[in-house]
Amino acid sequence: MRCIVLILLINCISLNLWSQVTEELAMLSEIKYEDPKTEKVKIKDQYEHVHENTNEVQFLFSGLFLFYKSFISSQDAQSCSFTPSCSVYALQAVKKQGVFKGMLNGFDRLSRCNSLSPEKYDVDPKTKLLIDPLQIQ
Amino acid sequence: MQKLLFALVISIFPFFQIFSQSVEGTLQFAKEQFEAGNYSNSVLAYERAIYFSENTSPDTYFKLAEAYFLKGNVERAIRFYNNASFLEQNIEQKNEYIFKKCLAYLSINNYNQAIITLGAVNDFNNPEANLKKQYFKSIAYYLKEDYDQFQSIFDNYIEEMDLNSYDAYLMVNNFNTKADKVKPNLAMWMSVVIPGSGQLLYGNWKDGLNSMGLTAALVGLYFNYVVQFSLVEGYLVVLPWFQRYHKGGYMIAKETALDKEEEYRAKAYGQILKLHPGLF
Repeated sequence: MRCIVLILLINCISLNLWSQVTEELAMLSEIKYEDPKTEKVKIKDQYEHVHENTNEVQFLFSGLFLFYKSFISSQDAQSCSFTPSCSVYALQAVKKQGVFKGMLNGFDRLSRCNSLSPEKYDVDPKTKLLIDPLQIQ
Repeated sequence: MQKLLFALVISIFPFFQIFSQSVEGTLQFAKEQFEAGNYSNSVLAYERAIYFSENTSPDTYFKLAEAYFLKGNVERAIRFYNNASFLEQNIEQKNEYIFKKCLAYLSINNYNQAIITLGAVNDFNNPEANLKKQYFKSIAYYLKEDYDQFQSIFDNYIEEMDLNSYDAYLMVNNFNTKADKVKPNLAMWMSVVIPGSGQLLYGNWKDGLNSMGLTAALVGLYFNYVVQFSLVEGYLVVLPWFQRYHKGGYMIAKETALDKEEEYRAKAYGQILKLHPGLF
């Protein structure tokens, strides 16, 4: 009987210690490094609006946008002052306002993309870029 | 009149006794809320119990710290881990509180304070505490990216634990050696000279070939302008674009190398966690 009680007691203590170790390891594993198995988000999954095409022209331009983002913009050093970037902004503008107004809005954004008046915008603390989303209802 | 008032107060007094919450009741409520995952309620109840009790036990401070930690308020948690470790008389328990405090500092990436905290661990005639202290210290140095200090403390720990032949230890050394060999500046300069080569060196085929193709296209465009128009025309039209994508390419080469180094360090860290003293 004593033996059984002793074994049970030892088991309880070791179970408690084990859960403490597991808890510590879980905390330590979350501190700095990301899980190496985490896959990077693909470019086409980063921009939801490229999947919302209603006609062939939109489909074509969304394709061109994805090509630009995948093979040209991806090779560029950070050159746009804003978040979202001018290309994303222009695409959103064309989708929301139509080709003519959207392109005008896009050109307006390009003319402002020079960091000459940063005081007019909020700054994204993570990327240090100026926040200027498309503000069309 | 005074007698009447006295009688009234005395007659109401038992009701206060019934409806007021005792400190024990509050602590019980705090514990229940903690177990239910309502850390905000648990924190409030523990704070209230501590405020009204004359002598707060270290265990109550520890539980309050735990509730704060799980609530996400790590700075406040550290304060109460401190109170708990200061009041605790049992050395084993005191050490556990200190290790918890160290973990809290690590979780907010305050590695120096984590190392300083470990100095308070009482490991006199206590080899287990000493080993755990060494292990935590080596982790703090590793996360701080002071790899020389990490290596000396970790090697000492491994020797004392007699884990020299363990696969995990060999893999830690293997990944760290690979990480040491990664040269971000070499990748960058390779891409300066031959665009895309730095990315290819560290296995980023997509960006390497992309950069190579893009800069080759721009060079081709430049020669086209020179042949068709003039040298100045070629410079004026193509050079700004070339400069932009050439610079982008060698910056990506450096990032690729840094990512590779971090990947090796992360793998080594995963193996370090497998060598926790509690697992042996």
